[in-house]
Formats: sequence, structure tokens, C-alpha cells
Amino acid sequence: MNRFTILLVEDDPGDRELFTYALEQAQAQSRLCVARDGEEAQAYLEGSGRFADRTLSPFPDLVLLDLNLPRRSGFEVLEWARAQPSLKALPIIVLTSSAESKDIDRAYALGANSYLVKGVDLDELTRTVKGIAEYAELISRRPAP
Amino acid sequence: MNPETSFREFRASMARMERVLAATPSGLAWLDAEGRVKWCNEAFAQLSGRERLFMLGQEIQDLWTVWREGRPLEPRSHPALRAVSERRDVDEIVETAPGAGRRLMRVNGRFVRPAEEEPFFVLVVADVTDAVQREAAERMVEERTKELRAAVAEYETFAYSVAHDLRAPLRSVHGFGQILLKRFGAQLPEPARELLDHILQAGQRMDRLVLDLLAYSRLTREEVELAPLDLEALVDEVLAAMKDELEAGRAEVTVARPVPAVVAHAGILKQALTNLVANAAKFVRPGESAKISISAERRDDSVRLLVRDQGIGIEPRFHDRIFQVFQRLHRQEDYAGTGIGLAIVRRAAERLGAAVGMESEPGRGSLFWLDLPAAPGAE
Repeated sequence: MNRFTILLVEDDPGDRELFTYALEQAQAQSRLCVARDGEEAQAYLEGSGRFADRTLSPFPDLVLLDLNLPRRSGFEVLEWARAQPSLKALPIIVLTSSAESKDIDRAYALGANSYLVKGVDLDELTRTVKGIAEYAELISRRPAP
Repeated sequence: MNPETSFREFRASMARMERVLAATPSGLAWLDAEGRVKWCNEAFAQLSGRERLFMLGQEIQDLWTVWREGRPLEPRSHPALRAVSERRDVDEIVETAPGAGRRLMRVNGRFVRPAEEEPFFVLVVADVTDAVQREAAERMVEERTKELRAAVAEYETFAYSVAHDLRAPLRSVHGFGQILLKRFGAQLPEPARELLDHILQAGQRMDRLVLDLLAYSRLTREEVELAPLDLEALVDEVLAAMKDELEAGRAEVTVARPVPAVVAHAGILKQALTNLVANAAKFVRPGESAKISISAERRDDSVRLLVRDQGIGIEPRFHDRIFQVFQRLHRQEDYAGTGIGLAIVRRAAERLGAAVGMESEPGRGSLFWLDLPAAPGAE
């Protein structure tokens, strides 16, 4: 049974698949939902369009957000989400290949909860994903506000 | 005051005024309403290369031919004459005859209509060649600088995007290779596993290359603010971060304490020191482990940070080359690397306002040093 939901916002199919694999390896009791660009991420979080059915597209416990996305960048999604009263407290972790301090500063300034850099090594990714999954599981059990 | 005295004073003041006008370095002339010279100063006469007295009563277009864009103007197109005949003011820049002595002259004239006198024309001609050329040169320098800045910024952005975007397909190559090895490795014959291993290693090497390139270009792009910092704590942080890598090679590192404080940027200095320590740990004789000593000494206003090893050393003929990008002295199978590490150190030193240097002999180890500004008030 899936006890919590992670929304992965990632445009690269290879990265999506590797993430799925890493999540399996981490044996996390999670449901992974995917948005492939910034606009889809917004639609998913709003529950609009093809994400309107919350049984199929449950509201996530945690969002993993790439920065370099088509149509609407991760920064734009972040800024938009933090301006929505219902998404203000949603944990959003930036997961990107950029280690630019400019990007890191901007992500935190826009309200990211954490900033992780994607590496090339799968074992490292698995360790990272395991940590994220544990965190997501922990917060999915938080008391209702 | 009697009339004779006031007349004398009047004459004296007129003479003074004429001396002042005559000595003015710009050409001055007073023309009548037909464009004939009523009076001019020495500088104006020199423009036409004639005696001043000869000028009087002559028409302006006969005295001085002006040029524009390398062609002489017809007499009736002379800007001063046109202004006089059209009874208006003029302010134009014209040329003198082409050749080595070509000058740019500003012709500035005003048509004056006094209430109870004949109208007249006052003309000032000034040599503005130097000012115009200087202005043009300054504008050109400004434009070139702007273009160059834009080009550098674009190049840096380009390098960054390329390096950055190369990592996504690389993650797929390497990641799926790892999955293949994990899931099906046991079913693969040994030679197939070896091939897969080569692919994975190449992927990892390429990622290191891309990361080093990104770090190198980031050092140019990022803004740097220098501040006093605790160098001893920074050395400890670097060694703690490299713990796994150093232990894997069984490297021994000693730090001579205390280490004086310096003025630097923590991130950039960490990067430079990390690369120096990593090199010291890497370039050892096969089978040996590295002995690295880190120390710092105060020299006047600076602190010299030294990283010394007892490794394989570097031949003197390569000493200049090793700080350049992509310079490698060893084959990948002997000592893996990207050839960017010391170029990063050099560029980091540049950004920190620090000097970098080295001493080394083959077989006797290497010593690399960074001269950093000392923190104010530190001993």
C-alpha cells in the first residue's frame, strides 16, 4: 500500500526512469506521480485538466522539482506555488544538475525547502532518493493543521 | 572727469579689447551682410594662409575653401556664406584640404541685427580635430568593450548550458549501464561485463570532466566578495570533506598549527585547496600512499599557504604548463584526471587576488603555495 505520494517534476525521460528505479531500490512505500514540464506541474498541483481526479492524481506529500523545464521553469513553478494559500506549506525540494550558487540562492529565496544536486552515479541517487522517501513518509504522518 | 581723460580711457580699453581678440586662438572674423571680411584676427588669417591685412574686404568664400567628405565645396556652398546670404546662424563641422594636415573645423557664426546699425555676421572657426577624434575613439572603445562583455557573457552562458545539459544524457548512459550490470550482470559472460565496465568508467570520467569545466567557468562568472576568514577552520573543513577519498588512498595529512587568518572567499579557497590536496594524494608512486603536509607562514601583509607532498614530482619543463586547462602529464590508466584541476587553482587564485606557485623535482615531491592577503589585525 502506498502511504504517501511524491510528485516528480522532470522533463528528461531518462532521469524519470532512473528516479523510478532508485525509488524501487529504496523500497519506499510511495506512489510516484510525474509532471513533465512546469505547466503540467502547475496543473497537477491545482488538480485541473487531466489531473482533476484526485484518486488517480492524489495531492502530493512532497514535490521534487527540476529547474530547467520546458514551458515554465522550476523557478516559476516555485514562485507560483508559494503565492497559492493551499500550497504555501507544501514541501518542495529542488532536484537539479545546477550547482550554481546563484540558482541555489534564488531557489531558497523563492521558498524551496531544500536543494539537491543530481549526480551521475546511480548508487548515490538511490541513497538520495531513500533519504527523500523517508522524509516524505515522515511528514505524510504529520497531524492535520 | 574731463572729456579728454574719458576719451583716452575709452581708446585704451578699445585697444585692449582688440589685443584680446587678436590673440584668441580660435579664428574670429566680422563680416558684413554681403559676406565681406570687415575685420579678422591672426588665427583666422592663418586658416587661409594669407596676411591678415590682405583679408580685409575679401569675400569669405574666396579666402578659405572648405571640404566635406574629401571633396571641396563650391564657393556658394560655403557654410559661412550661405548663412550670411540667408541671414541666419550657422554651426557646422567642415574639413580643410585632405592630406596629412587635414583638420576638422567647427564653423560657428551668428547673424546680428542691431537696432540702428547695418546687420553683420560674427564668425568663430575653431580646430576641433583632436576633440572629435578623441570622442570617436572613446565611443569606439566603449562600443568594443560593450560588445566584448556581451560576447564573454554569451560564451560563458553557452559553456555553462552545454556542460549542464551534457549531464542529463550522461546520467542516462551511466545509470542504465549500472542497472544493466546490477540486474543482468550475473548472466553476462566475463568479456561483456568488462565492456560494460569500460562504458561506466568512461561515463564517470566524462561527468568529472563536465563538473570540472562547470567549476572552472563558474569561477569566472560568479561575483566574488572577499572577507576575513579562519584559514585553520577552512583547512579542517576541506580535509573533513575529503575524508573518504583520502582514506581510500591511505593518505596521511598533517597540518602545522596554528594557521593565520586570511582575506578570501571561502567557497573559492576551499575549491583551490581541495584540488591541491587531491593532486598531492593522487600523484604517488604505484603502491605507495601519500604523505601530505599543510602549513602556512606569515610574510609581511600576506599568508603563504603551502601544500607539500613526497610524491612523484614534476619535471621542470612542465612547470609552466601544468596550470593551463587540459594539460595532462600522465595517461588515464596511470593517473586519472581531467587536466582542469590546477587551472581551477590558478583561476581561483586570480579571483582571490592571490599569487600561486610551485616547486618540484621528479622523484622528490612537489610543493604548491598560495599567497593570500593576511586578515587585518591577525598575527
